[in-house]
Amino acid sequence: MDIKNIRYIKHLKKMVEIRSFLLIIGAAILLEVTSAIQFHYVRDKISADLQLRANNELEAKSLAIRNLLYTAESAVRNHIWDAQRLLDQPDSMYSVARRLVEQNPEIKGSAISFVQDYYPSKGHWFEPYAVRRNDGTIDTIQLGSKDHDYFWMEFFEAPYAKNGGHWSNPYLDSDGAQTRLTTFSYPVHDKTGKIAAIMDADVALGGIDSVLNVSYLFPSSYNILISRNGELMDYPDSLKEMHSTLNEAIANWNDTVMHRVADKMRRGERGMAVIEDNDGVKSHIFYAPVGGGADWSLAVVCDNKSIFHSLDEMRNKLLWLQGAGFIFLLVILFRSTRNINRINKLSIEKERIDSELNIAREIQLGMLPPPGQKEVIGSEVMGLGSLIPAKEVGGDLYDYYESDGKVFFCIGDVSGKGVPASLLMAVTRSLFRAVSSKGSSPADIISLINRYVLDTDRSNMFVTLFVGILDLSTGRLYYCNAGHDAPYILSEGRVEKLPVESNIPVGVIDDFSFEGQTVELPRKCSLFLYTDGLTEAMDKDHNQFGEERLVETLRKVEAADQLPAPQLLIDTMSKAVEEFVAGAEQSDDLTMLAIRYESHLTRNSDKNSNSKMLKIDSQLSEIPRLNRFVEESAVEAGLSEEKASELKLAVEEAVVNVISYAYPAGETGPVSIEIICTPEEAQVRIIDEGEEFDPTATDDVDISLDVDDRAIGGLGIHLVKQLTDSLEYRREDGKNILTLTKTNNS
Amino acid sequence: MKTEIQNKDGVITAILDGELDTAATVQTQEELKPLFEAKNEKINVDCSSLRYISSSGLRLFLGLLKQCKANGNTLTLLHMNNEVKNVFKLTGFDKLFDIHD
Repeated sequence: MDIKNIRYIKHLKKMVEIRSFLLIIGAAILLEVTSAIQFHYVRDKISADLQLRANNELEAKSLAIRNLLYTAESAVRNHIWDAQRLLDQPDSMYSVARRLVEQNPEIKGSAISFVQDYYPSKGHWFEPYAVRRNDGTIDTIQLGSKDHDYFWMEFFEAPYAKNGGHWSNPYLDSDGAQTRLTTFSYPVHDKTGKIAAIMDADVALGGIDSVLNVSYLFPSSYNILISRNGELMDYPDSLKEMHSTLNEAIANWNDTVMHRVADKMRRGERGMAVIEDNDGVKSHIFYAPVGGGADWSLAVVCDNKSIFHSLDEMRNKLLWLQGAGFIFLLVILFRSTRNINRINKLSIEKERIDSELNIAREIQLGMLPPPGQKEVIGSEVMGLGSLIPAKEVGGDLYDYYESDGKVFFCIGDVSGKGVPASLLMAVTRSLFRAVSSKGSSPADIISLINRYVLDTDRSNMFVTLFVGILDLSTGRLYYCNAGHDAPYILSEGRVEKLPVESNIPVGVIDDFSFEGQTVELPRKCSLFLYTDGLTEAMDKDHNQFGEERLVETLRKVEAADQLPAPQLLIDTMSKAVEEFVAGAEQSDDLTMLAIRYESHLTRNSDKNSNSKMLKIDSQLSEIPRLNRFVEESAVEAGLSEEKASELKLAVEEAVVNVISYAYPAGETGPVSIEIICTPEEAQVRIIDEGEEFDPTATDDVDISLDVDDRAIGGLGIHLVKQLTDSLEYRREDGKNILTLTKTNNS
Repeated sequence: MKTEIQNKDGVITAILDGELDTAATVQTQEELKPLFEAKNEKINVDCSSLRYISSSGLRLFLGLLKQCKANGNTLTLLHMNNEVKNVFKLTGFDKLFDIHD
């Protein structure tokens, strides 16, 4: 992933975060607004409902008060007649008053207050009065006096002035019980229609209290009852303290609404308002005139808290719920963005690991022979390896190289995958090169690698490994197998497993004695080595490629093209696997190594072959030694003396040719002569490191010419050609290699 | 390789004993110098003990033959074994030389 992508993802993440956040905020606002509107309507409804209930309450209480007043009023009116009838008997007035009190339990007292000097005998003030004492007895007294100058008192003056009934403002009883009273007074007319006296009845306001306070709209509601002067007649204690009028009681209120309400009440208006006391408590106040004879006004006060108590409670609960919901959503959002963060981090981390794995993979593949490595190892061997890596770094390895007439090769598979496996693979591959170059046997190589791996690797990994050394001078394959799959030998159309001791993998037991093996390879054969990535390659249904398909494929290749090129072998196998897995993901490294061997050694029976080598300097004095070597070897190998002699001559001529021409004049160089004999034939290879020269390409000498025309040169090569059954020349690695073959049966 | 030259009854006879390989030719050529210098003589080369001859040997013989012709000598090769005779045949030398068993 490049930086642009990372930036893009970060940007995206931020966008997602912001968007989600805004979404939740938006939802919250919407929900709150809806709730608020809903609450507003509910509140209005509750208010409307309350108003209705309050008006009912006001009406009911006013009616109760009016009833009370009416009782007092009718009591007075009923006894007016009695007083008028007995006007001429002043002393009977006491009993008139007494009867009134007696007959009306709600009336505390009653007076008949005569106008000035009405009865000259009774003096200036005459006011018979009946009063119900606290013990229930009724006393009658003459109340008017100089000290009780009632002519100027409200209860007298007001009905006198309007010549009609009048309810007084409330007042405290003077009898010491501190009972609050109100008085209804009505004029008593004489026969001429003039006012003779004012008759009154005192009503204890306690009775109104009991009527008013029977029920409330809410437990905390209270009533305010005022007279037309604003005097408080019924009220909660909080208003009463020290104040006799409502205006005084609310004098210190900041809320102007309340002041206006008080005025309106005094004026006898009807209405509703929301008031707020100095403690900030808001209340609804509903007020209306009581009606009836008294110009009183009644108000019902309900604090908002009580009115909207259930609503507020519900709203609070809802708010809590909503709050919890949003917090829950925010937590989810936070967690999910954190998850996105974590996923981002993981994916960035994974990218990093992947790129490191790719580097590891490249390093690993770099340790193998490069893909372009020439197939040919030496003149007789072609080798080619292929490692198709799995997605993950694996631990397969192979190697092959030629050194000093021997071809070294190996194939291996480190257990496990990933970087540890690839590291051990690299170690194993390096060890193979280092150890094998010392010319040890495969078993020794594997033992050494085993020891190194066990010394260095503490992670209990192991390596299956096959090591082979093909000795080109003998055609023998020396090999050792450490728990790896047995390679196949393809020869003359046959496909066979190379017989192997399985031993155990490298890296398991320190002092394990690995058993090496050896085999004479057929003259022409191919070796096919592989790792289990090939046989265990799986298609989508988890079927494995398996050994049968492997052998079948090898057979097909071998049948179509005996001694196929390694490239063909590997390509065909790769294709077969590819077709089999049909696109299923490769889970393990798939490694193959093909070695094609075509012996230049001449032998039909491996067991009877015999090889000898002679190294000489390129000078003529070496010829006798050469000739002895060739003759003895040939005879030893069973060639007839004649054949041996012919071979000797052919070799000598060829070598003399080398001595004469290969190296610059005056210099000598090495010439090696290798003779491989079987009973049927002898093959001699003459190898020099001189200038390139192909004796087979020279013109034949004309042996029919006369002596005078015969040239001195050319005879030697002519003889070589004549005396051998086949003559091959090739130039290789700066060497001239001439191979002479002499059969024994012709 | 041993070379012996006998001069008997007007015939010069060279007896070659051994293997006339390339290495031996130079020495043999030196030892056969009298044959190259002889004039109007009859020269025999006894090959009965010559077990082997290489092309350089053949060239030595060819050179000797040419010299003999130039010097009016006659050259006869005697008692050649099969192997040596085979080499002469293979090179067409059997037709150039007077070869007697």
